[in-house]
Amino acid sequence: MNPEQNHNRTVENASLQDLTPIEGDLIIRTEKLNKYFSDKHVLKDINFEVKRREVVALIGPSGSGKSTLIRCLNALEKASSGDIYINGEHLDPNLSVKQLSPIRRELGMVFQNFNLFPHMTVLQNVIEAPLLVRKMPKEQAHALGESLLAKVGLLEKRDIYPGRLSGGQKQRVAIARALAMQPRALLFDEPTSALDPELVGEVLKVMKDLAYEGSTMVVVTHEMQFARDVSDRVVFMSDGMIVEEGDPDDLFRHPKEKRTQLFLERVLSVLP
Amino acid sequence: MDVIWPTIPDFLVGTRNTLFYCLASFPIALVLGMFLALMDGSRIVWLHGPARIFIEVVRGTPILAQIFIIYYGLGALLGLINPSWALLINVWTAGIGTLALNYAAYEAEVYRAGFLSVEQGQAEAALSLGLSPSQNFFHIQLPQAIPLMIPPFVNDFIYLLKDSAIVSVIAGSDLTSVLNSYVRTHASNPLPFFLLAIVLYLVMSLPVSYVAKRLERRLRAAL
Repeated sequence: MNPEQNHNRTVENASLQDLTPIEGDLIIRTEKLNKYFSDKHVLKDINFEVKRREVVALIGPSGSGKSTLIRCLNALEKASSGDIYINGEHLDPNLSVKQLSPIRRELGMVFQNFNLFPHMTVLQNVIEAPLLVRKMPKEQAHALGESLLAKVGLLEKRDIYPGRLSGGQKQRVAIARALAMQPRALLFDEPTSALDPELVGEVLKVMKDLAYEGSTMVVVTHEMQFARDVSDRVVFMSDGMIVEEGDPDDLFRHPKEKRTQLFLERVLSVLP
Repeated sequence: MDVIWPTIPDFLVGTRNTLFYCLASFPIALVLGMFLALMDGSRIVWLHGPARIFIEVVRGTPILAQIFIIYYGLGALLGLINPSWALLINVWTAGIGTLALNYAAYEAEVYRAGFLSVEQGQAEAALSLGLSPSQNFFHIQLPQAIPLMIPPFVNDFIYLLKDSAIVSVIAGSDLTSVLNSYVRTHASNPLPFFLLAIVLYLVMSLPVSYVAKRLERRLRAAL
């Protein structure tokens, strides 16, 4: 690992736009978040924060609770105890689906298995929520959808059905769909884990572009190079706990905790 | 052949009546079946319980017994409450009612299977985008479930065309009732009448299966 290759996005793009996470402007905050699946304790007293414009990579072995954590953030999983605040608003687990909707809209979710709507064209996938939820006028939604598809490089696929896209293209559409609701932050749940290796790059590139535009992102990932190059902060989870977190270069080069060292040794041994 | 020709108008009336039984009872079965499926899927016990009991009882008992119970039993019961209500139960209402209730139980299972086969992730994607439960139902779940449900629906309609022969046990003037009456009067050589009835049943069901095949191919191509 050559330190010269590690571009911190904050440094590289400082001239273009200020990408420094904004202190005190918390988009996501959890306090003593706990989650049980029947008697299995999968999240243990998680205190987790994401600042505006921050890119956080969540890494750790499978089963460590990374995905569960971000699924709790938009209430796809109900937290067992503790508090979640999204842009300052308390995410009460007892809210009805209707009451949850405005909070969920603040966070865009990108799934491992894309979950595109197979009965809609690519463009319809992107504009469905703006039309239904934001009640955006049709022409405006179309313009928005087209600009987002152009952004992920798939404008020419606007009228075809997701079934005919490659995995990488599906995930890029899914990112455009999440962006269409203009969320305050994007949550990525292992966005490249279901992809063939040669398709991973195109998705990571889109995500990298978003990061360089100042998007707030939480990325659960096994792509260590991406975590290292793009994120502002890496959070290492194991056994439902945040074991260690910090600046990507520090954490990857000088992990303090034994569990982090073991994990990184295992996953980094395959990197060039 | 000479014996057949003069009976053809009667057989055509029987065919028309069979179609009428089916076309009247199947839409009722579809609507009722949807409510049963929704009740069955509910977490509320007094919705879920009765739906489940209805489905299991209807599917687990002979349709022959059901039509007798409705035609004779229900008619008598209503007559006890109010003598004029007994008139509500005639061969038409009993026939349509039995077929509708019976098929509602089967169609409920088709709905259930249809909704179960829509991936869980679809609802998660819809909810995370902020769609309401009803938007999720009508814009995401239903359009994906319907293509999966149409082939079994059409299939069941073909079964219904044949099952509707059950109304002949209460002399429902359907195709099989007409067949029965001619078989009785031509007991020495009933075969031509059987063949005619078979041909007429086929004339009803073949176009339906043809449409079903085409529909299935088109729906599959869309997904």
